[in-house]
Amino acid sequence: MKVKRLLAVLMCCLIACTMVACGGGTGDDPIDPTKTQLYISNYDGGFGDEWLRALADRFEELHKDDRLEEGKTGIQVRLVNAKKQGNQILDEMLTSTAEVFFTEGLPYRDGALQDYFLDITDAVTTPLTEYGETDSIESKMTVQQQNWFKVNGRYYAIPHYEGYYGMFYDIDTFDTKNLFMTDAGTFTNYAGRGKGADGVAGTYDDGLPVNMTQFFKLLDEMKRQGMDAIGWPGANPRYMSDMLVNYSAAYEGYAQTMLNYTFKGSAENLITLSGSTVVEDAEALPINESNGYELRRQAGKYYALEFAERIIDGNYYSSGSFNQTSDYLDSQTKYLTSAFDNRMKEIGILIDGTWWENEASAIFESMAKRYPGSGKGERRFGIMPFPMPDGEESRSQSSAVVEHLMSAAFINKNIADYKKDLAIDFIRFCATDESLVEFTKITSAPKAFQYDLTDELSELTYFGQQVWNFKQNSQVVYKFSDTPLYYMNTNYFQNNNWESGIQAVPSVALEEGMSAEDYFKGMYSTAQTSWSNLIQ
Amino acid sequence: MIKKKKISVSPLMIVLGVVLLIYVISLILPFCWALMSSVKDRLDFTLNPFGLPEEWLFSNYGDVFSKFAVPINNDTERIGFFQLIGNSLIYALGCAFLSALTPCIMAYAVAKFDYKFSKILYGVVIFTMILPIVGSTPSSINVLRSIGLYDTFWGVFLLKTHFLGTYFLVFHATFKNTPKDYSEAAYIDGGGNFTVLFRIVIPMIRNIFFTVMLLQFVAFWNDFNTPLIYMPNNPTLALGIYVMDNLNDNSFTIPMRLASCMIGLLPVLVLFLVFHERLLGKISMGGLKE
Amino acid sequence: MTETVKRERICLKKKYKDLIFYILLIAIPLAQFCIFYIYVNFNSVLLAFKRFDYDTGIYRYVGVENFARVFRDFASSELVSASVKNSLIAYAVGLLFGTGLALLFSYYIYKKSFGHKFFQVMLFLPSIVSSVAMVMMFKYFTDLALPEVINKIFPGSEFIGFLSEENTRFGTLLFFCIWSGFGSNVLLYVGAMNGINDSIVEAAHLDGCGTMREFISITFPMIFPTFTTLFIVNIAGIATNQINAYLFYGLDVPPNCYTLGFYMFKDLVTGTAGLSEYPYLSAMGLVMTVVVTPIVLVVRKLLIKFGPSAE
Repeated sequence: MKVKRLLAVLMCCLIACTMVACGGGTGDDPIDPTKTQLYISNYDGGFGDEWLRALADRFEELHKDDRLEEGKTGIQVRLVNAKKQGNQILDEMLTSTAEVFFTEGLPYRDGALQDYFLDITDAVTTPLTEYGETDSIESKMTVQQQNWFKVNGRYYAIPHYEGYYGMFYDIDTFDTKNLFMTDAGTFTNYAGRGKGADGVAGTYDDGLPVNMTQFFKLLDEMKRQGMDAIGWPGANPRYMSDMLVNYSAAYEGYAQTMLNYTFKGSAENLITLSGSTVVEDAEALPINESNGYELRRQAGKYYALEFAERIIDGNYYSSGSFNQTSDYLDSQTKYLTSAFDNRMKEIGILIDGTWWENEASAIFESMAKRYPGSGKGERRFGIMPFPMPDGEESRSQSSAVVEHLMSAAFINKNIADYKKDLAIDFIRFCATDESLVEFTKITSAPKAFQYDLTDELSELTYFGQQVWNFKQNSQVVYKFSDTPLYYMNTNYFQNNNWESGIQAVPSVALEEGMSAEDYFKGMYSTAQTSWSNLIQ
Repeated sequence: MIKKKKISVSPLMIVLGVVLLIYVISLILPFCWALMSSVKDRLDFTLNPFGLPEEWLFSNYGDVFSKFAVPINNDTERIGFFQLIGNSLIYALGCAFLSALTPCIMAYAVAKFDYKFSKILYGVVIFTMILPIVGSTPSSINVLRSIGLYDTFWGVFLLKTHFLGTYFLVFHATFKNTPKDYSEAAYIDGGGNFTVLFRIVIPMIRNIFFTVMLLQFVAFWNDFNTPLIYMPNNPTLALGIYVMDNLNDNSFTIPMRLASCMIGLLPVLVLFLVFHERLLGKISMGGLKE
Repeated sequence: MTETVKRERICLKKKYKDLIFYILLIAIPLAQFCIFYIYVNFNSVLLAFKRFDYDTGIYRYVGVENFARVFRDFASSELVSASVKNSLIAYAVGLLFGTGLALLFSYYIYKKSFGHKFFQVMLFLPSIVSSVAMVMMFKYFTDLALPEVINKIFPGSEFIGFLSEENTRFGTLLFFCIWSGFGSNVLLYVGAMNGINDSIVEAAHLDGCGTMREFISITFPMIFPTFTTLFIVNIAGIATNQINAYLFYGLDVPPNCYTLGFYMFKDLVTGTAGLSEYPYLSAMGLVMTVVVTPIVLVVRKLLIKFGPSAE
């Protein structure tokens, strides 16, 4: 058949093509043979790579006269974008030739113990004097971070960026629809806002519900106005559960939340349930590695479950919140376009992470083409505080927040010797105050270090400023610990901390008809039984 | 004499025919939807999943096609679409042939020669089919590296020259049930083992051999794990799709993903449509046609 | 006397030749197996007897501690019994509908009924398409398209989606596995059916044999070896079948979609397993293999013994 012959010829051509590299170009810029290359692998997720390019350009400028190889002057930094999480990062180290890595969800201890990372202790503990600073990288970390990143006394990686789950809303939407609240608990616009739970005007919780009753009054009002009150991604139910973790952290405060990671201290808010009545423990309970499961009885966890139960049973959620086709990008798209497009019910509150505005850059771009005023940075988004149970409004002052991204930067151990110092210098360079500030300016997101923003704050998007102020007023709890029980069972504690019977995700269980009380009781009994199965 | 064949349509066949028709429709509908959605823009897809595209964004295909560039050698080179197909062809053909031949030969040995060792080998195949291997990637990479075959086609071929898996069992069953008459006749005529194997047995089972090879070809065509780990600088089309999926996550919209699936599907679909008659059991196996 | 000796010598010579031939055939594959399977995976199996020491950073031997933990986990975890139940249901449904329909469809094609060429190509198509693409197309269809249609026909029903609703999830996954899995089975069955001697079939027709009768008495027995092979492969797969749960749900597979295979290797599949967990996973894999292998071999023996023979 002629067709067959034609196809056979086509096939031969294709095989012939393998002999000739008829591929596309060579990426952003071609390799400069007059310079030494430094390869940086970047987790190109919600934060993009613009910040890294800016960092690399400045680094190249600083090192333009370096001679590391025969006949080559200067450095060329090349970026390799790699979206790998968890063990995939470690697997990639087996075959990757990238030298410096910026990652998310890094299994740090496992990697350090398997000798994947270069020892950078000196780089981390020596002050950054060559950049005019008296601080060392170590001094910009919290004690919890230092304890985690030190493995047997040595550092093998440094923190990168951080993000937290929460609830976000559009200030102008609330303004036009009169969804803000006065001190008396009635609805008003932006100008008439009350002082919020902290009782102080001019803070981020102004005009927002001070307790559960007010919060659900707000949701009812949204429903009355024909809105879907809250939306989250149905295909990523963890977004909802991780938000509950932060609700619990907000209720419990820093010290009590840290117990879940250190297993050292005294638990003061443990409860039991008699029917649906909360019975507080008479005395504080000392916590150690063998009775850590008692922490599943923390009151904050119960109230978080109740909070979720009320949202779900009250049908305040959008259609995508339990739909398997709605992933985080789709959820953002729905939230953002619902304000402009009549085909959808408007969504009032979005549950996502503080990085979401950056992550939705492409969505903003698409929207700006269709709806004027919808581009990135044109809308003012705010952070909704977690509403504490009635009578416990003051708890919202404690402001502890759990960080979920576990992002870190490290150097591949198996790189050429002559590049090791260069790579170490890059790591030090990216942790200078100037670099930290530049990161936040570009991404509107905080790095997981302690540093200051002064004039630069106004260069962030409105939401970025909210996140920055939020971080300054919170104590961040990272999901790691140097307590042996924790790091020997990292997978369990990071991913299955809210298991109850056969369920692991509260929102799904609650939607299927389980009550918050049963879920809470189940959390305790499941933890109690599986505790002996942990590696101790 | 021309025998007039009575065309009797049994009720069973009618029912099956209807079921098959429904099945085919159930395949075509999602596919058509995917095809239509692949030319939508992001917002159109979310707000209007089932209507016709507001704007027919054929540029999606253009974008995806140009993005089909897998960086190799530290991003000093990028492998484009056609070379990816070429690599896929070499990889899939080579591996398909070897991973059909090896179990075939092994199965012949085990089926025809009833040593105790044969029984052990059979048990080994079953055992290894069930046993999941935990964390062995580093050691296999190291073995390939030490013989200098890491990141080469030959290294991957060597990796796939194993006799384990379902197809060993398929060949084994086939050999056990091929009639002994022809081979015994050959033995009596003075033929040795090799003669029997190559001139009688293999031609007899060539139908099933090609079937297995086709199935393996398709499996290897879609396999991205092996090239990802063992041959990162010789990427195949499947690996290209995987890399693209994981690179520019947020500007790579779902319609674009669907477009990339369509593009990835095209070459093997063409191959299949061209060769399917030859390979889908058209050669009847009633005996040797000398 | 010399005749017998001569015959014996010829016999011995043949046996010797056979042995050489046998060794030649299996030498290379066996060598490859020893290097790329035994040597490479040896450590992974030994891991089952070790424990990771975080202080020294190495695995050290601890005997059967991991196995004890596997049994304890199986005894105390509620999820295990749910998973086992699901695995068995998946197997039964797969056998009834997957294998059953595959056999019938193959028969239809073998009989060259109306549109058989077209159907054969269509049945095989899902196997060509990568599973990621199939899952994506299927997911959007069942959870975006169909719910819209259903909610229009039954207003006020608020059906979210087949994969999203608790009651329909598991069934939908099973449906997907069967719906997209005909390809290779049909191909093998059709190939086997085409090998049936035409004369037997013609003889049966002359005797007035109907289509159904022909299938039961001739076609099926003649392809019984192929059927046996695929049957035991399915049994071997009971404990490892994950019914594509990870592809559909990612990290958060709902508990009523857990199968034994997914339960055991969830951490491996999702890439969240830590160094300290590998020994446990290895031990679990070993336990499962040791339990299932004899079952498979016994089933095979029974099928061969009691199944219809080609005679």
